[in-house]
Amino acid sequence: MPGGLAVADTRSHFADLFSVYAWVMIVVTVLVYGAVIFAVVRYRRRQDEYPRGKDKRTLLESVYALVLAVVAVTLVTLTFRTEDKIDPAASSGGIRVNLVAFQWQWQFTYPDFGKRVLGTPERVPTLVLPVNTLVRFDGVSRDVIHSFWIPAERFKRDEFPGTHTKFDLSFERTGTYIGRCAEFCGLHHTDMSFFVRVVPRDAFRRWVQR
Amino acid sequence: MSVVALPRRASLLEWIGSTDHKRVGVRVATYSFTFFLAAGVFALLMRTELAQPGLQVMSRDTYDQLFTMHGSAMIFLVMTPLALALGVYFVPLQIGATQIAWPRLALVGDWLIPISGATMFAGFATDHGAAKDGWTAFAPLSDVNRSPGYGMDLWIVGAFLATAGAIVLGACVLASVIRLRAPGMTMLRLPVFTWSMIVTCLLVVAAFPALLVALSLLFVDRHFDGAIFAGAGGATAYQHLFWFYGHPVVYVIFFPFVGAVGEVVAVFSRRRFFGYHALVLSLLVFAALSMSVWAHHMFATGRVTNQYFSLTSTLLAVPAGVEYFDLVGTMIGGSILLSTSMLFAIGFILLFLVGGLTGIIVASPPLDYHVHDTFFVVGHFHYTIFAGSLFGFFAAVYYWYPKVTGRLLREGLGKLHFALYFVGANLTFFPMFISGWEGMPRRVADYQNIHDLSLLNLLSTIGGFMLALGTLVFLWNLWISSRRPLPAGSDPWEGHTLEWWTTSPPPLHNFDSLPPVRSYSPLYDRRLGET
Amino acid sequence: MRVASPFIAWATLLTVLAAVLWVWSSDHLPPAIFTAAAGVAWIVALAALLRLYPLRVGAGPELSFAGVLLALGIAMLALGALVGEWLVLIGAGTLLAGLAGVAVEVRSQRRAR
Repeated sequence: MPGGLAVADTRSHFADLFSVYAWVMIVVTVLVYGAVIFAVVRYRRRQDEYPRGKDKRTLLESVYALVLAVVAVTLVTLTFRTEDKIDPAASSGGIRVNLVAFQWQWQFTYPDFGKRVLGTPERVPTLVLPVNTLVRFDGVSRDVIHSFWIPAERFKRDEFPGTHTKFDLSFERTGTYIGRCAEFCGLHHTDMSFFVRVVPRDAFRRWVQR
Repeated sequence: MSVVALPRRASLLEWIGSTDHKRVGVRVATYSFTFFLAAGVFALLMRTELAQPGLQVMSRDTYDQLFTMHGSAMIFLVMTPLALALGVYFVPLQIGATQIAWPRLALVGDWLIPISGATMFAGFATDHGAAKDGWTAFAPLSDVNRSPGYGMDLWIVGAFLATAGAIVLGACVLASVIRLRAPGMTMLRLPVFTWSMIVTCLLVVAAFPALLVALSLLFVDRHFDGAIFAGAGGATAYQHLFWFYGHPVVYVIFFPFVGAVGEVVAVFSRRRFFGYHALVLSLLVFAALSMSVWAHHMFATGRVTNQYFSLTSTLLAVPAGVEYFDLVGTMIGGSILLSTSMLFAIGFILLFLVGGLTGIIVASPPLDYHVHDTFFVVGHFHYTIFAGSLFGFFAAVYYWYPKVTGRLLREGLGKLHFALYFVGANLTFFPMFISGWEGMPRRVADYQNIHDLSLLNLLSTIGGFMLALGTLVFLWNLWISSRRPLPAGSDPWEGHTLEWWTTSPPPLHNFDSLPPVRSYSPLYDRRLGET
Repeated sequence: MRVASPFIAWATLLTVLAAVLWVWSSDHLPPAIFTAAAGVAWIVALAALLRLYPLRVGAGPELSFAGVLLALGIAMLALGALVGEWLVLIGAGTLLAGLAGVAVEVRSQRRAR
């Protein structure tokens, strides 16, 4: 097998980053819902009164805006860090897969092994990949924009006509995952599915030799 | 019981040709609401199809037309015109003007919108059916070979005319604020809603022309073999032009409603709006930032400057957070009356938050790579546009209907409407977060029942029909309130702003007199002076 | 605060954001579109600053069927690009009739004052 270089899969990067965002969402939701419910319960109109209170608290609000900005910048920094792990496409190592999307099927070729998988309306194409191995994708569309999405991998990338899209993936666990076209591409967009079967490396070696 | 003159019925000629901004506003709102009902029926048809896996009630082709026309109508013909209609009606009143600037031009913009709607909907009568490439009509799917037929062309012309009409209306409102303010009405005494309309109209005039360019080029491609969007970079270029309009437009259909909610919250909390200056500043920053975030719709293309757009998109949380601070700050320490209008305003605050927070998710490229173009995103933007903006719109309707008609809506029916909408919206849109996360792409007529997608979709469908029921309750409320009118008087809610100074409905030239304006809540000042 | 201040502030913000995008983006189209929009914002700001609004308060008509004709004319012109030359001609005619109508309306308004 050319190169055994393994990179952590996007799924775990996604999970790490999302957990931070999820905590922020939960805390903000609890604070806002708590404040609104408190206001409605505590300050419900009970008698015909005109409340007197300050119309603004500029200092408090400025500090609060600053806190928000710090939270936002922190999240963006974490996002950038995760992106640096996901976005760069390696120029060597691992195995190569060229994918071609067209209305309404997928074709996967393995230039290193001279192998090709082509989907037909009768048969959903299956992309077979070795586990824990860097896979370098080179994708293009033959007609309109499609999008190569593997929900279990938490990743998708659009495929354009005329220009190639390069991205890397790697799978930490064996198994069969479903993949879909995520960019609306016409009448049979719904049916444009594929399978990804991740197998142990020796099983993959046997598969390419078959 | 005081005698209140109910409005005289307008003649047909007035309905067609009146340049009175109040007639223009009501006219725009009326046909926008009609388009809302039509696009809502499309949504119900789609939800019926999606209730179970498989194709039961329609073909894929029909489904594609329905989701395209649902989205297109809701953006071009419903929410944008409704947002502007509120501005056209109430900004001149709130600033103490006798009329809108360029009334004849406003009339032109007004009539462009129903014509554009008729044009778009005419697609259903053509050979290939209506447009079916989504409201985004991405090239090259929308070229003449992949999308043959008049439906797509009628969509292009329709979207063009609606956007042109919106630009005209926006310019008229903006010019009114700049030139027609009453004596004493300085920029920092403009009501919260008027400020929200200022930034809205700035977005309209600065961002909407990009769509006119995109649509014109698309038309040239289809009919004159332009091949502008055909090349390798063409598809990306179309997306940049489209989203340069397509992102600001969602703020155009957000700001006016947050402004209206601000007025409602202040009035029903019996307080001046809290943190007015911070709000004005945050609106300006919000509007500027929202012009700079468009390519977060394109993270999955791998062809944009992800970091810039991720940074600006996430920073939107700062002005949005300031607005929340001010809204909740107005309620805390107030004297809150839970009228129907106030309930919708609170619903807006609670549910828009869900849309806003999931918006931070899609602003992060590594997270967006997963959820982009899935039902997660469908859930996200329906929480902002339906559970957010439309709730804000109904808060505005229950608040201002007495001013427009001189009659009150029924509070009991209004609260039933709110309850159905609140439960229905959550039931419809929350499951979408899960179904999208688990692997359901958007714009599909069919799906496989894995990860409980079948149950999640069924819940969404049940919620959709609750929303339909809520809409029927609202229509019944309109009907019964016009059959057996309850006179409203000029100021049923103890309003803060100038529109409540004049009669309901206001006379042709709006005001017979004006009170002194010394703050952004002149009538509240007077009331405090009296009590 | 002067009337034009918020508009100048807004145009400045857009200009700064567009400038940052020029530096950050390797593709020229996105910052170019943004810069064009910032230009529109500056036009609004300058119009507010220099009061470039040909506006006479109280000059508004109450009814204007010429305005409706204008809208119809514009719509027919746009649809004519699709349907055929004949509709373009009718649209142009309607537009001209609308413009003439506006002229007549404006004159009778002036006379009435």
